[in-house]
Amino acid sequence: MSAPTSLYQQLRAIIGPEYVTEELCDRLVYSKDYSIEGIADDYTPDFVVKPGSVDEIERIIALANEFKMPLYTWGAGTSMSGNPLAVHRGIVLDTKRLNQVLEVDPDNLTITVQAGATMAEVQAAAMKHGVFFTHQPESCLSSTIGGALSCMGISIFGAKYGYAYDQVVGVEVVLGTGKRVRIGGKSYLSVPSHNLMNLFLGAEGTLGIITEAILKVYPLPATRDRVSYAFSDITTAMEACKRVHGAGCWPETVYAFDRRSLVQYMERSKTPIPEELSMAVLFGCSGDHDLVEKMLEVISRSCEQVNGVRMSEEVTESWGDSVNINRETFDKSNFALSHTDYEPDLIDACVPLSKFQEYSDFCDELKKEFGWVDIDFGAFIVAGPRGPIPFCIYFSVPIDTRIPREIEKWFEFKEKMYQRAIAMGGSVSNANGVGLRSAPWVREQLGDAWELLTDIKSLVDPNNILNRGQRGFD
Amino acid sequence: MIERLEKYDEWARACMHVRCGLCRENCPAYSQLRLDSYSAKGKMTMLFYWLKGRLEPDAVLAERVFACTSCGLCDVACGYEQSAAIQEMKGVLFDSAISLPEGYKQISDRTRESGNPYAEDREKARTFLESIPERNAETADYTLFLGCTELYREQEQVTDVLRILRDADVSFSVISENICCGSPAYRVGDQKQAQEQALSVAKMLKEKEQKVLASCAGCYRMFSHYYPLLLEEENPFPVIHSVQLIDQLISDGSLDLQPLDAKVTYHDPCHLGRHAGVYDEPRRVLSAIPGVELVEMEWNRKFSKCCGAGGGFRSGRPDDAIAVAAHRVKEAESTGASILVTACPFCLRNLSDGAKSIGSDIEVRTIESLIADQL
Ligand SMILES: Cc1cc2nc3c(=O)[nH]c(=O)nc-3n(C[C@H](O)[C@H](O)[C@H](O)COP(=O)(O)OP(=O)(O)OC[C@H]3O[C@@H](n4cnc5c(N)ncnc54)[C@H](O)[C@@H]3O)c2cc1C
Ligand code: SF4
Ligand code: SF4
Repeated sequence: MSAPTSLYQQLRAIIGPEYVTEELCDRLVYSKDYSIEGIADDYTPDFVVKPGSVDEIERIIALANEFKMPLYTWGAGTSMSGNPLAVHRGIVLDTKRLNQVLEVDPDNLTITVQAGATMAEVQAAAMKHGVFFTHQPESCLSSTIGGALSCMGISIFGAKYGYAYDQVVGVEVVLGTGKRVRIGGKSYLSVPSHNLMNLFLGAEGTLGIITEAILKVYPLPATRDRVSYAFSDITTAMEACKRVHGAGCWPETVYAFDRRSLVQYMERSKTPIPEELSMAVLFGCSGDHDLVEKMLEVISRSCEQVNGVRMSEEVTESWGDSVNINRETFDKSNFALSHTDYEPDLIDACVPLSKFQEYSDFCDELKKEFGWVDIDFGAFIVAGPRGPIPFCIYFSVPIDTRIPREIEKWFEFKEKMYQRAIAMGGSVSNANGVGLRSAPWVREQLGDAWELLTDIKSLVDPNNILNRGQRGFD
Repeated sequence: MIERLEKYDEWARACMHVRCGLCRENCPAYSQLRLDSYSAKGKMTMLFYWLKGRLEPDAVLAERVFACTSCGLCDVACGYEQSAAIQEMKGVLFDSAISLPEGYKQISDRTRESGNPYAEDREKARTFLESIPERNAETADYTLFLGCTELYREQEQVTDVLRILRDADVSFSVISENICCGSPAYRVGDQKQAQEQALSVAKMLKEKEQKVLASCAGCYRMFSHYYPLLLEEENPFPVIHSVQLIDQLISDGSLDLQPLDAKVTYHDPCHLGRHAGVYDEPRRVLSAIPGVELVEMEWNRKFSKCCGAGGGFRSGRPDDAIAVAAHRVKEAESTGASILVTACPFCLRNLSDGAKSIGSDIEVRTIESLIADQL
């Protein structure tokens, strides 16, 4: 038999025929993520491959370089910004065969995992050793560690523990050159020089493919409890959050939803939401029983000081359950049911805290202009690594994808929203990824630093193989 | 033909919107075959583009779609009953000229030709059934319907059921002929053949004017859920599963059980658990055996993982089906149980083969066999 010559044959020779496909029915499965960008254009790749080892990944990258063929890393494809999509076709590389939890080390509070492991698997492995992995997005049953470290993801426990990439102490990455590097280690400060690790965290697969990560885990809290409060507007809700912080209280969950978002999240449980509510905040606390009780008491006091109204236990429970989707609770996910008529896309611009209300009012006005009223997709705000004080307001915008004009309108809408954010002294953010969504504004915002970034990109990925056309790169 | 799929357009669209993949990791087909295409998300994507006209159904697509055990775990994750949409896709593919993966088609061919999916000689079943003294009972409370797997592959199960019924003085009759309930043919998309089976079986059972007792989870679901659809009759005849009856017999004191000192875990058959909501009865029955300690597997009740046998998977992909079963057996082993109990002869077969394949010494039993031994 002669040596394989075509790219397809060579891929099959490297990873085995059952893990390489050029069938249209498979390629279409890898052509869209959870973004309107993904439905607005055709991002069907030429091949999908699913390597089983880092060695195979290195060889695929070498091959892609040889053929100058773009390569898009794909975890679970649940991203909300179009960032795993094959903009210039080429190869989609599915990482989920690299899904092993390599070591749980409760003594050093670390867990070492391969990048294709799902968050739920990592959590389950940690829990078996009495420790706790904190990054838990609502997609944790399906989304991967590699995806989480590559997007600036949020977790229901983020108010206490931070982003996904706050959890990393070490990574192994295969660069676009095919070179494998390891940065960091088990000690919490493995930064002998510049913090090179940060280059690859939140990089959305543009600089290298993360293959392994050493992550932080924490002692398992003994109890968890939650409470929720309704407020007359965003400003008051944020004031309550500031008071909670000022009181020295450090909850693990701080999610603020407007009424429309709450209704959307109750699609499956059918829990009625009070009519008069404008903005509500869910606070979740963890720790020993007496501490949790005290924290909830302080939170309640802080909220009531600004006339917050305590929500019923039924609402608190349903809300908590609907965002806490995991191995034991996935029957509570409302996503498919609430996404039948519309697909919401997300504006995740980060404006200064004092401008949340103004920005939200602007969004409401704009939504009216675009004819998007009375549909249950609204605004929500989550607290990130700054404790109970939220940092970023998200607006989900419902698009009827059956109507091409509606899809076009999304692009017009987001342009107005992002520009307004920048004009208000805010920023495009990579919360949930830049991908194709907010990429058009990245260069403008980075200014001179854009050149530095492209120089770095050329160094680690000289043939522009990795996620070509994503994140503002050509 | 594609019109049959249009009613699922909304579900496929919802999936294209959200792409959540919550159905993926627990899907037995995905766990073996490992491209996203094999999960419900993959199949819904194919449905979406098929309906849009971008994807022409072909043998490759059929291979992906038929790789589904109909376990319904994706429905729990999704909120939409995607397994029903997948079932309809199988039906449409079956009725088209597309070549189906080997093994699946055979099930319906055999049912058509020999009256059962195993292509066994029905005379064998008749001889056996005629040897059951109760067969002639004119007036009885129940008609015991024995399924093909019990009759041709797991006959001990029949003996155990009979022992229990006799011990509790249940009045029952037996039909002395084996006609497949149609479930296997239905599962591989042959609705026509399934309907034919349903017509003959229903005719036979209705004549008896007795409550039907099924000791196979597949037959039970077929009678209770699919006969109304296939026969367009709301409630063709009343039906009860043997586990439900045993539960009643224990609670009214008709069965006296000897102690058994063992740690036992229970595997919910998809047909009986997720699809019919029978979760508590089998657990009550097991807990009623003095000395038995019932322990749960990590995935139980509505989250129970599939044994891998259903939907034609066992015939179409025997090695994969057994590998899925082996995973479930390992899960059972990790509870420390020495007996893995189920309530379906098809699960019994596949789990036993799964246990054998990994050299597990866990005992795989049905509830009926466990109870019969404790009488
Ligand atoms: C139902 C639902 C709920 C969600 N809830 C949340 C939530 O609560 N919080 C939240 O933050 N997000 C949420 N998301 C968004 C999404 O799940 C996250 O962004 C997630 O981290 C993406 O992971 P993934 O494995 O799906 O990555 P993908 O979508 O496959 O990829 C995302 C990006 O990461 C890159 N990438 C993936 N793996 C690697 C790797 N190994 N090395 C380098 N680059 C890689 C890809 O190229 C791409 O740029 C939700 C999505 C859905 C569908
Ligand atoms: S759970 Fe439903 S919506 Fe989500 S990927 Fe699976 S089939 Fe699609
Ligand atoms: S019914 Fe079971 S096997 Fe079929 S797609 Fe759903 S989870 Fe997978």
